[in-house]
Amino acid sequence: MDDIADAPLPADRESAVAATDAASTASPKSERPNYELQHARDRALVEQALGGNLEAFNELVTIYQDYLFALVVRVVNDRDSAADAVQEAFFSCYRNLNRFRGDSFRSWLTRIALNAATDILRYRKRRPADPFPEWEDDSWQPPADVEASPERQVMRRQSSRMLATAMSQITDDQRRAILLFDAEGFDYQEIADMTGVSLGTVKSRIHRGRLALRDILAPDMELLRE
Amino acid sequence: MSVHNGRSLTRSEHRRHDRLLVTRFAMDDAYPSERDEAIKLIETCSDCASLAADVRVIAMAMPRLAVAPRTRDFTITHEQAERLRGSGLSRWLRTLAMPGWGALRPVAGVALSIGLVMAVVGAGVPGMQPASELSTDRTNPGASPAAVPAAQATQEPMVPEVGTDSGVESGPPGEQGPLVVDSARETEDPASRTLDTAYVAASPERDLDSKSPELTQSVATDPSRDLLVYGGLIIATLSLALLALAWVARRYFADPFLR
Repeated sequence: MDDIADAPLPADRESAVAATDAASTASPKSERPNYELQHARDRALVEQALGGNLEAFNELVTIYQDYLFALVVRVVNDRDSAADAVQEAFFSCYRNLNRFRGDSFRSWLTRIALNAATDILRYRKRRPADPFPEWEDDSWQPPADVEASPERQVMRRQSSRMLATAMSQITDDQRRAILLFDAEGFDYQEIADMTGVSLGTVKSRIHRGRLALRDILAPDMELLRE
Repeated sequence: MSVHNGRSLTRSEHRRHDRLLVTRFAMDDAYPSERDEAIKLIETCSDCASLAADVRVIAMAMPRLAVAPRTRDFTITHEQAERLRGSGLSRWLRTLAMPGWGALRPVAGVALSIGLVMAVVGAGVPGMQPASELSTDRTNPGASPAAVPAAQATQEPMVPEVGTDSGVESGPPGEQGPLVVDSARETEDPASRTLDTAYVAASPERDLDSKSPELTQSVATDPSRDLLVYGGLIIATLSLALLALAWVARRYFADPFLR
């Protein structure tokens, strides 16, 4: 991006470059915690659970249930279905714990939960009803920001709902890929492994999804920039 | 309408631009060979520049997406755990349903084919039969259909030779057999011993094992024929059972979420 910065900028390009700088500092990737420690902890708990310690497995459930529910409910947009999918995912995980070979238990669990969510989406396509009943529900809250003023919190809530509504209008595959990449911080390869598609397909879904989101959100972009 | 360097860019011109390239470039995901083109687009088209900026804003806004509160606790009770573990048989079938055992079905299919071929080849070659049937034939005066023609074939060329030596006229082998043997024994001709052997094969009353080298050889190969037939059948049956097991495991015990 440095070579672009040296060139004379059109009016909108200054804001574009500024946004790039901000993105590089606020990227979810830079906020990712030390996963090595998590992996070690998870592997130890899995070992104990394989030895018959149900409490160890339930500790894993406690660690990941909020994350998993938040992810799945964004994918399927229905809390009851999401709860069923997450419960099934934990059941499946418990049944097949001896098959966990990978480095990251979180990735493995996410893949199982996404497969469960995909099954729900397929079922819903076969029997279409109200596609996204949850978006008008006030119990959905953006991540808390204690220092934000009440006005700012209202705006955040509004922009968050707007974004969620736009997310519901892109394809399931694009939504899943964008959530995993932008919201959950997985990298392209991890998403490819989880969803069983090639790296190129993952990138394509993410970029096309972002482009679709931008087209949907174009009239309200100012609110998102706040 | 966008204006840049004195040149006006209309919306229709922007529509012709590679918006996906701009989107990829905005997230630093364009190939090096595409960067120049993307930079040119952003520099010359304000719509492309605003697209790049918006895409970054959207990506940054994603972590702020609303989160729904969890509706229940997903921890597993002891009863659920017991039910999920299942019986030893179901655990074993679940193992068979794992992707790592995916080679089981093709291997069992190949083994089934081999077993069937072995059984068919063992049972179907003309002029041969299982040893079990031959041992029955030895005690059966009806004689084996395989042994009799073989014996006749051995005997027929010998008859004129013996007949010439002993002055006996040739006739139907079945009728003159005992006469020929008797006269040959009297002369102690070496050729008569061969005839004697041939006669033994044709005569059900005589001991087969001690007299006929051809039949002895034939009987010696029959256990391997048995092995071929019964071995093939056993392999085919086992393969079929494995195939059925693999089908049941995949149909009823495969985990739908571990694909």
